[in-house]
Amino acid sequence: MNSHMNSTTVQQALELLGEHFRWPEPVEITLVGGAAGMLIGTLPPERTTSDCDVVRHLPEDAGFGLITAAATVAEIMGLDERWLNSDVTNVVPTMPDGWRDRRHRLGYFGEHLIVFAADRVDLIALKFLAGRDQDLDDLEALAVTGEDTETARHYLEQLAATDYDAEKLTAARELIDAWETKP
Amino acid sequence: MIATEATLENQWARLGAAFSTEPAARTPDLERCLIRTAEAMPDNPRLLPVVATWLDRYGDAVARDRLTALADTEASVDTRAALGLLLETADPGRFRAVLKGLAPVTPTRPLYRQQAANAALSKRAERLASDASRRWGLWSQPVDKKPDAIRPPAWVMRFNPTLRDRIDMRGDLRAAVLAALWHDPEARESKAALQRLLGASRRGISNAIENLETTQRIELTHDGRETRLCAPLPPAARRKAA
Repeated sequence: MNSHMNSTTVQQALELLGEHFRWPEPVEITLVGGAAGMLIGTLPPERTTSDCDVVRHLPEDAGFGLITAAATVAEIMGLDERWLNSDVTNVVPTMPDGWRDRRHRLGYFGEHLIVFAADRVDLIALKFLAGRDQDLDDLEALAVTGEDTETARHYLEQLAATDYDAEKLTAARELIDAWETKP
Repeated sequence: MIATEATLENQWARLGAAFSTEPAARTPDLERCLIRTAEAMPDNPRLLPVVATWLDRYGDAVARDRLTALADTEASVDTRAALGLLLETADPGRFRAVLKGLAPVTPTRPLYRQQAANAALSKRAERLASDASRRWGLWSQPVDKKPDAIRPPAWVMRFNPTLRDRIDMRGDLRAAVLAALWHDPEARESKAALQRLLGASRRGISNAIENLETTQRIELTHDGRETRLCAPLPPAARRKAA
């Protein structure tokens, strides 16, 4: 199993996904996480990821078709069967305001699959929310600015209006506060 | 493509851990690779979860007596504590004997240099630190092992056939003798030199050598009063090297 992907492997997997995806109309997916960061060039090329996190696919009923095509790609490329991962939708109920307008269109993959990647500022907001040790390393690579932390704070306020775990929000706020003290 | 001048990540790629880099040209010296990993952990937060997962799966390949000896002679105080955290995260039972020889650092601080350099991040690291990391004095968050970041046994054994014997021996003193003979030229000079290097008892070393000679894994030659030792690579490893 070739379970960790770099930007080349992600690109190849998406191309194969597009080839094997059968759907009568165009379907959009948006990537977040390490895969998105590598594809838009904001994370270093030597960075790897174990999966491609997908936050949205439209229309939503195309999900089954995507899962089926992803399983075929996993078999061909020897990837983990969960390489195209939509679990992130359960972890992050909503994306930062305006994310849709900021996302980067990576283009058509095959006949009907259109792939987008979330913008750097949205990736940063999600990294602050996750706050694991390796996310801090990514935040360093993403060269966070004051504007980025403002967007991240706004995102946390947005999540606070939902039933999102308050403890996690507090931890994320603390991380942003701490980050802003960095020279 | 194969990396001829191996970095730490090249070495782990060769061993079957998922780092996006070319694998090293040959199987690394596993115990020294672990020491170097512990040294590098403060600058690379991906090492701890990936290597702990590898050790959880293939930890029987580690020659524990040799790792203990190398940690004692080649690792700094900080590196020994980081190694302790790595082994405890991987499998504290399997590495109990090695862990006994390691000690935490004082004063306690964040494991990662980036966090240690900032008072606020440092405070946060302390608050979120796992119990194991507190015990070793190097705060880091609890580790989620990543089984999908490790290649399966068929791949690992195919590209690292020397690990097979080590795993068969469950990393005991025989594995340490083999690894020392492969990687430390001075170990080949005499039984006494080998004993010194591994910090093992004379009786333990003699038993290990006798077993390895009987199973034809090592060869002994007599040079005056000294007995020199040699451990040819297993046939599969020789084929790979060729």
